Amino acid sequence: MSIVQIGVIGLICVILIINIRRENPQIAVLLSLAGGLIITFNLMPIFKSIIELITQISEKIDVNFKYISMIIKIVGIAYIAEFCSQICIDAGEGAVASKIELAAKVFIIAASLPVIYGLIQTVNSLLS
Amino acid sequence: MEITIVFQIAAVGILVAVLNQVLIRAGREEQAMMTTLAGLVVVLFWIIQYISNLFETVQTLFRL
Repeated sequence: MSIVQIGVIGLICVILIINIRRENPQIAVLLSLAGGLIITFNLMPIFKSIIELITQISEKIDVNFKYISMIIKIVGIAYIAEFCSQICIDAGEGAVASKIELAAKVFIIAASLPVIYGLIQTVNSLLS
Repeated sequence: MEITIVFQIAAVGILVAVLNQVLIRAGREEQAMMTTLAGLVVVLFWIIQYISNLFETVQTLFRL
């Protein structure tokens, strides 16, 4: 799934959306959602290979896998939140989009707390 | 997960828009509203499968 195909899919969706938006705004939002889904779904194999490569590299450098999996988790959270909030903004619902963004920030902080805690402990042990 | 789903949804959207105009001209506004809702429900059923499919893939991939 090269970038050309993804660009063409995006353009086709936009043309169809403009066509339908005046008479039928609900279907237009669903159409933009469908376009986003297709492009994202075709990106998944590339994401998978990137993540596998990162995990292999982390095993070689024997970095603690906990940190790598946390980074991957945060990327996933950020990605899903951005996907949904952009659809809400396109539909004109800024409030819902900002709630989704807020929830994403909270989840990311929650996911990164263990590592921050570990960091503070190591700093404490170094200082004392 | 091909481009055909976009064409199906666009076809439903255009069909519903045309039906709407025809029914409004014929003086049946409430039926026009019903056809819009029916079209919306059909498209929602299609989209829900694709959304759940994508979000499951993302969950397994990013270990959410």
